[in-house]
Amino acid sequence: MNALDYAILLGTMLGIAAYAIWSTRGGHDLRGYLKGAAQTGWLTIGLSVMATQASAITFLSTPGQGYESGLGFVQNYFGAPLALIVVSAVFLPIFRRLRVYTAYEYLGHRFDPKTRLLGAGLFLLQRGLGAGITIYAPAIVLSTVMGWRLDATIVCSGLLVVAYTVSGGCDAVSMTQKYQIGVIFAGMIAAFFFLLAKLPPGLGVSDSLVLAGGFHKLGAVDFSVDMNRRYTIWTGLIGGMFLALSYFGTDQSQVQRYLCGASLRESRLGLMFNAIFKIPMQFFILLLGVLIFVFYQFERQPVYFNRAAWNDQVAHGQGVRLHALQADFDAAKAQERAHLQAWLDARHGGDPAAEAAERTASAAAQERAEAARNETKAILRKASPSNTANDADYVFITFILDHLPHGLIGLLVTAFFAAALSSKAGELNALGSTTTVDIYRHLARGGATDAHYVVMSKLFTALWGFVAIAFALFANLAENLIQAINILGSVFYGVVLGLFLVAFFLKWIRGTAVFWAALASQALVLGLYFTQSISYLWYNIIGCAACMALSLILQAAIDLGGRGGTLPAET
Amino acid sequence: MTVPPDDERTGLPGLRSWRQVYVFVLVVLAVWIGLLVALDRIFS
Repeated sequence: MNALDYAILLGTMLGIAAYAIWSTRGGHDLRGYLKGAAQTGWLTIGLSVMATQASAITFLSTPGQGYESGLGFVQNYFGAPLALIVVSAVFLPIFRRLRVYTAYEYLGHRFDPKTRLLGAGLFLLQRGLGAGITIYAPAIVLSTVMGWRLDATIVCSGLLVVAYTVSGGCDAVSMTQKYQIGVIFAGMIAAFFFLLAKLPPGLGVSDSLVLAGGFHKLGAVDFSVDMNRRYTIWTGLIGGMFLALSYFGTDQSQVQRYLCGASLRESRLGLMFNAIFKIPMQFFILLLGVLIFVFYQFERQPVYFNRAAWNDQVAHGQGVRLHALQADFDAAKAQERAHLQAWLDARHGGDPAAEAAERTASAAAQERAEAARNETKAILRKASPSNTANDADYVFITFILDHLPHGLIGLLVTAFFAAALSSKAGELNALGSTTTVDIYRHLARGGATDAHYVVMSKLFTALWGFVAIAFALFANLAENLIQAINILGSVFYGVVLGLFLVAFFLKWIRGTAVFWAALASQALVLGLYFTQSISYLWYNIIGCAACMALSLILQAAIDLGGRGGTLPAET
Repeated sequence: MTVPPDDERTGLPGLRSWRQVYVFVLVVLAVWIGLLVALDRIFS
């Protein structure tokens, strides 16, 4: 990065934060601080919901997934439109009618205080951990590649988001998210067109897709019913729907975004905006990764993208072996390149037999290159167990730094930070609100003034920000970063969703039954997670189904025993 | 013709009730999945 890139990065990030602080200055009442001025339109809500979900990991790591595994990850989002319809039709009208600040307040209305605390506690636990990951994930990749200090990157980006979230509350979060997502889209679209322009002369989009298809990178929909496959249309539609339903319907970081709508209509349209554009957005980001894969078939690429880790091991006695693997990789790639060119020539010349033969030869050369890459990964993993980030996370940033012009590099790094801060702000805003409304006001000090709760909400938001920064400073992740977020969510979300579905649809079940059912279900999901290897998306269904089924059984047992739980309140 | 209450008004041309909006979203989902399947079939 040069001075221009740094100017774009610092100017944009500090400018957006300063504008948000300035325009939301002045006193707030509790409703204004936690839910905004209730003037938010559907587009701001839609972009805010999108920005909260799409963290830096989405833009940094997802192209790497596309590069390594193709488009299959897009299936993860197939259930999102279904879930958003349910949230819009069922959850949202009830939350608005009860005028709740948090989703868990509704559990208190419907069941009892302990169930409300359980819902809020599960949210604080998993979102508190997740907040650390959203700040750590981009920092580890960017600091490694740029040579920045990891701790300084985490602390500086963390403090910036804490500053404007604490200062302006919900309005500041929505406002910054709108500008930040604009920066993100501008950066990603510019990168896409620069990538197309960088493809070898004569290699058009159609030829690129043919090559990608030949390497099985375009398999976006898998109809397999194998439970061990992580992404199929079934895990996406069913598991993905439950994950999205839990996330959009019960996670306060999302609920808070659409509760600030000027009316039910604005909130609903904001959700439907996401229902329509979420899948194409993810497809576009994955396609970017697939096209980077095609690009690197014609350009020299490193056998291992995390050059800092590679150089570190070269300096520590692995140099001969690693250089030999790079040479094997280069040789296989050179052969592959020749076969790819012959494949394209045969295709343009209308010779299907030669096309098939060259395609097979290209695939064989690609396998040899992949074997060298896999061996390199194994050596680096064994030599440095602390190097736990997935190499695919470094693909996109390596492409950006090696092949894009200055100015655009600055814009894209700004986009990654904008994405990190936008999702982080939504999370901190929600963590602060839930701690204030569901824990502090409910347990510690009810009946205080609005001004007191606003001060406490600011304090709790700042506290969660510092917790997230501390967690990020000590984090150590083995999974691909975006998957780590989804796995963490899936382990807890199913049970929370179960609580809400019982509340909405099983009207005769009372607080005591659902409370113990939720605890038992969470224990079941954690037990399965640590002992089984099924796709993590299924945990959403298992947790939800177990919570609902056990609630029915326990309520029946309580009724039979003649000891009812707390009577349900009006909803 | 009955006028829908404010909460039921979508303000969208051609999609007057939320039920119609939800059906439209489902159709868009089916189209996306169909296009993704077609992309793989055409280029693989």
